[in-house]
Amino acid sequence: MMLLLVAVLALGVAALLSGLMSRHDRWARNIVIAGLAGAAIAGGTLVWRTLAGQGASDLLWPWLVPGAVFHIGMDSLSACFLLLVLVVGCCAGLYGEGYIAGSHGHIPATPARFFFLVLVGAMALLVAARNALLFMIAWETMALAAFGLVSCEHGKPEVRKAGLLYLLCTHVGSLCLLALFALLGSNAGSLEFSSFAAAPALPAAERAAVFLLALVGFGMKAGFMPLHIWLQEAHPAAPSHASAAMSGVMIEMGLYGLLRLLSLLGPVSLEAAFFLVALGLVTAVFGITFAMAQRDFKRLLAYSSIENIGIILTGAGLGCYGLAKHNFFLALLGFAGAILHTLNHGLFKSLLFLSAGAVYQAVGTRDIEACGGLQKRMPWTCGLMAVGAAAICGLPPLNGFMGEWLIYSWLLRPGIGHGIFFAALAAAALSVIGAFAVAAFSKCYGLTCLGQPRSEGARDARDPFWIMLGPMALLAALCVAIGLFPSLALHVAFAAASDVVGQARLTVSASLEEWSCLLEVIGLFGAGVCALSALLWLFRSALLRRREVELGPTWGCGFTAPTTRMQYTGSSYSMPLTRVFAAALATREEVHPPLGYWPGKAAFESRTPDPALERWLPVLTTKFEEWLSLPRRLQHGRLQLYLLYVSAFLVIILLWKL
Amino acid sequence: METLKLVASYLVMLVFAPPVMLGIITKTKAVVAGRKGPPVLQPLYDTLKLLRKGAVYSTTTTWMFRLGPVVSLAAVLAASSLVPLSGTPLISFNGDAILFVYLLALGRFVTVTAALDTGSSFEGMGASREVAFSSLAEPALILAFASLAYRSGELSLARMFAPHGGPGSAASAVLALGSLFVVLLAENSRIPVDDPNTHLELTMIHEVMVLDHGGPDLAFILHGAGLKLVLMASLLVWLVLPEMPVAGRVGSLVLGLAATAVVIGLVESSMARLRLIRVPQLLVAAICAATFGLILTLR
Repeated sequence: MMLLLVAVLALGVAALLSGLMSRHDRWARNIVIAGLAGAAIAGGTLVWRTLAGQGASDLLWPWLVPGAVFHIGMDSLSACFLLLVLVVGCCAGLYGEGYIAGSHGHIPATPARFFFLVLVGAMALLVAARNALLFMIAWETMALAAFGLVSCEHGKPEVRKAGLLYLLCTHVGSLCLLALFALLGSNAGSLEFSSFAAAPALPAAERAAVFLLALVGFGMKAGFMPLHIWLQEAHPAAPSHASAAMSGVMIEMGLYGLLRLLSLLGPVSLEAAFFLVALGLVTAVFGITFAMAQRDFKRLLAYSSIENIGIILTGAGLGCYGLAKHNFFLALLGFAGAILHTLNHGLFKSLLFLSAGAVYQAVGTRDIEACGGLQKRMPWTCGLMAVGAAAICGLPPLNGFMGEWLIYSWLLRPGIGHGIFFAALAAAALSVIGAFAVAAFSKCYGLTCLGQPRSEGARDARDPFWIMLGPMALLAALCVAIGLFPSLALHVAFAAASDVVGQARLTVSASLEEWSCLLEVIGLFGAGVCALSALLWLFRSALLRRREVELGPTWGCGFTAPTTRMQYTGSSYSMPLTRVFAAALATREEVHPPLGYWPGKAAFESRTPDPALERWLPVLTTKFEEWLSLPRRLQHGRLQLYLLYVSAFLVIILLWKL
Repeated sequence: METLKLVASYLVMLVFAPPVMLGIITKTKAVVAGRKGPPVLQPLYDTLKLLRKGAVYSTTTTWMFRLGPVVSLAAVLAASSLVPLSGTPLISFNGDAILFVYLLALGRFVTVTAALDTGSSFEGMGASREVAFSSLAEPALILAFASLAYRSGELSLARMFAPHGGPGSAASAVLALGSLFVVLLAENSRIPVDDPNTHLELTMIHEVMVLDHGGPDLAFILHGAGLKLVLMASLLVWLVLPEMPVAGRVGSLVLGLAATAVVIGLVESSMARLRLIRVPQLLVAAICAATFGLILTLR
């Protein structure tokens, strides 16, 4: 366990030193890299040992804080998430150095470095915390560091707005978590996680309260559907390496929290499991539908994070169903699907955010309609983005397929008893989500990188340096590796899932072998597709070798003077589907058509605002504001009256004590 | 020896079934229209001719454009190993139906990105329609697969599409058949969803995406598209056709494929292409039929 402390300390010390060295950019950079490397080595060793079965004993230190113990431990569930924190954290951190240098002073280096290292360190501590108070401290540190990252470029008003919104949301979540732990702690008599597990069962009403508090508290961070409002604002506002770490890891900490709580408190009811599955599917359909309608590619990625969180939640809900039915095999399968998809999502989503950041820096805009033609100008970045886009659509030779396949196999498994009809509908919903993901990401990649440049910025774009390309290439390689050899990742996911399920591990390990075999077959199948493609490519090259291969303009269907502005745009690309969902999307269009005999300037603008943030939330908040304006009369700035309040309060307390 | 025979018959099916099936469709349409029509093997001659030609590439395009036809054909070829094309499939495991669906999605993804790579607005339009319509075709496919998987007790194509007795299963099989047939028409760009023979780029879906491909690339695309049709049609055939005593499994499959081609030809002769905004309604009807089939299976 000392290894985890070493990792967290390395990150913390590096954060402080890089802050102190703000005058010496070179030094600060080297310190960041050294800190990340130290954390990766120490944490990586710990993860390896834990997953290999040589678990270290917990570390318990007395603490000056009343009621709390500094208690950290490591099991497979923690190790699995720690692995994700380290891989994505190190890749994004390394990339961040190049990104900060390439922003030419737009991103303030010192806070970006400091908060990033603090964020990674806090997440590493979070997954190991075994005491509610320590957990909350790590949680808040993580949340505040992310706030620092989101508002890095606080010169821009939209960034300030996004930062404040995030701060507000995360504190609502934290408040719920405080209430949750207070409830659990008062029942158990201690804030230790182990005492929560050993405590007597709560009455039904309090169980429901615990469920709701956990759902809101962790769901706010993870971004379940009506609680996602901060996500699509904060991810585009943050620097890209921070968005990668936030979207790839931080929001998944909400899932970690839920899974950890499940492992402590035992199964939820059957209705709650149904609710979780339904919530997950609604979240996923919502996320991907809105992703399709976006023009800003980082906003598109943020919405797709909501989609993937929904898929993960669906898997977790299916696991809960298995737990509630005492069918540990189904429980294990559901949780393993969720955890495998979490790992995969961390990899491909951070890859996509990093490549999107490189495009943003090279082109100078996040508007898909202003990009295009980048595949020729930044071949590496766009090639890696293509891998990420294919992976996130869940296409077979890549890793995204594996987690989704596990969830599909759960749903389409005959003989799961009643509710089988809903399982089939859920599978259909999952397939809609997958097909929409193809639509959204062929747009994100195809319209951004392919075709011809639609703006000056896109025409002059260049690939970034290796310090940004290297981490992206590593993430893409991991996506391919898990896609071709999934059994290792599957074992990690199953080990973590069996920690959530608990003691049922031994009874079902035989059928686990079968599943890992099936996934290996799928991996081999993916390799087969690659080999077939290579063979066909060679065949094609051999055919074309001694023949005439000419270059010419794109066939314009008879039109001879096309310009780059005549290309299909992202909005028109997604139109057939956005029209189907027009009522839900409520895209706002501002049209100034050309008028009169000598038309002047014409304009068209469309925007798809978030419904929860801009339509549903105001309905609630306006009522709330009315109520809150009543006590505001007490606050009017007269010092005499304030003193009167104080003395009145003291008198009341005195009377009460008497 | 058994394996060798299996692989050999597979290869014959992979090479000859797609062009012959497309040829029969064209022939049927010609006969209904009172024409003589091209020979049944004409698509094969076309493919061979294309393989002997050079190529012209747009200056806008990159390696993505060249990769598209290759990967899409590879994906369909890989998917074909899951379908019982010569009596039994080459590979079969629990859960391969999902892999089948996602391999088709892989083919679609690379075709679409290759189309977008040209920067042509016509091809962008085709790509946009392709992803939109297949997003509605995919749930119908999964729902039909779900009812068959629950019926047969295993999620593998070989078992799901094996003959299955029982009076209850007939009704659900008919509904699954209907929705699968609509999905087949939509995914393979046949009338009433798309008209492969139209001459206006504005109204095409699949053909407009491959406007800029030529030579061996186009041959790959055409053969891949034909093979996809054969795969989905043979699933339909296995769903309906009990094993015929005369012809054996392979023979009955071949006869069934020919009959499916004739049916497709008759459908194409008897109706016009739907307006594009009507296509989603047809696909939603397929989703509903599949859902009813599912309800009947679970009853």
